[in-house]
Amino acid sequence: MKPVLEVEHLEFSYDSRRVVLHDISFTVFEGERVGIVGANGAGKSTLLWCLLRLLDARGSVRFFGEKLTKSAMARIGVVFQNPEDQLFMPRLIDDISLPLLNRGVEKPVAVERALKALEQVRLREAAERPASQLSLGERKRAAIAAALAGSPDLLMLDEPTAELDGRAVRQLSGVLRELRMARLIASHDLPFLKDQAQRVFLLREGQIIAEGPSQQILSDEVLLDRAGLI
Amino acid sequence: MTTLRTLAALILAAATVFAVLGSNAVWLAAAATLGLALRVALWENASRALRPALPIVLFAGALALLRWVSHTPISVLPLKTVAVFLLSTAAMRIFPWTRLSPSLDATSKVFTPWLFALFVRHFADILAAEAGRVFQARALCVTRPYGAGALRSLVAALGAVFSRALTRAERFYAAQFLRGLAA
Repeated sequence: MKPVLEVEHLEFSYDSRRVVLHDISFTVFEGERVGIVGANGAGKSTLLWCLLRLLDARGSVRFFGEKLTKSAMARIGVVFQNPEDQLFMPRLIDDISLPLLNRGVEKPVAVERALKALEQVRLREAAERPASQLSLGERKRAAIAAALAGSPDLLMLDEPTAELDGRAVRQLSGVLRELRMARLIASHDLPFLKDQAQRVFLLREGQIIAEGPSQQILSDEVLLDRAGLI
Repeated sequence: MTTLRTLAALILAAATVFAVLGSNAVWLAAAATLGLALRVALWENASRALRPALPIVLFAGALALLRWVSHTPISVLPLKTVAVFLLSTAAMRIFPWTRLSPSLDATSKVFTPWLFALFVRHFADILAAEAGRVFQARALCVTRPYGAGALRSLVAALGAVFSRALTRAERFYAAQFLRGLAA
């Protein structure tokens, strides 16, 4: 299996006194589902922001063997915690097709791919509606569709189940289970990660304190207690 | 109906530009009154129409107060701030966004201004929602408008709105940047 994301000795601090991420190293392989699990404030979202170079961190991050270039960026789909940060157009179909149009894809092709992405997240019928009229669960799935439209090889999700009710989580899990690309999911939702991730990294105060198969790590109560998750 | 609404929104947008450039207090007061009347008419109820304007009015009031305290003549800037807010939000409300969206081509010249207007509209909505939440939370804590801590909590609430606005702006920019839409 080829690596899609290689992280080596990543370090980040907002100021010199408090280190937020300390010596983070890991690799995500093609088609692999990896979870980053940690309590609130452990550094999960900061880690994702550093990987995407939204924050300036020290260390090496390589996507598909290269630095985060525009061509590499086009192969990554990102789903933010709050779908309102991503979706702003008058109709969902515009929101999903916009990045494709921006990359120079012809409008009919972009619309077709957007509709296919909406189909994948079971929101085909909502294509003409604005995202603001959808439920939070539907908006989260719409944000995933926005990421899927670009046919990414790596999907990064930040707290995908935050504020969702049980049914919405099940629907989201169903959608994610059908995807084939590599996934990096930052979450503190243990049952969700047990279901979605093959491998997890346990993050505590910006450090990876354990790594392994999700079923094993997320069943270890001593470890979870150390990480402040139970 | 789409044409009428587009026309009305464009007239209001033009009035907003005049309000930005103008310095006649009477005209600005008239523009603010028109904007206020439109807000009340276009929103579901008066309370929902006026609550989002409160931080703007307070900000404008603070501007006027600072000038008064420093013994400098009070300019039309506070009035202009309120008029621009009321007119521009009314224009945003009237504009038929959903109906016009399918007809626009990404290669057309109006697409970039259209996208910019959508950014502004979306962020104004986010800001209004955040402000609504903050002031709702304050109202639950401060039941008497002139009681102990009322002013302090108002200042804290305004501060919270600004800090939330910054956080949300940062996330919104990051999300659009990753979608390839920001510089």
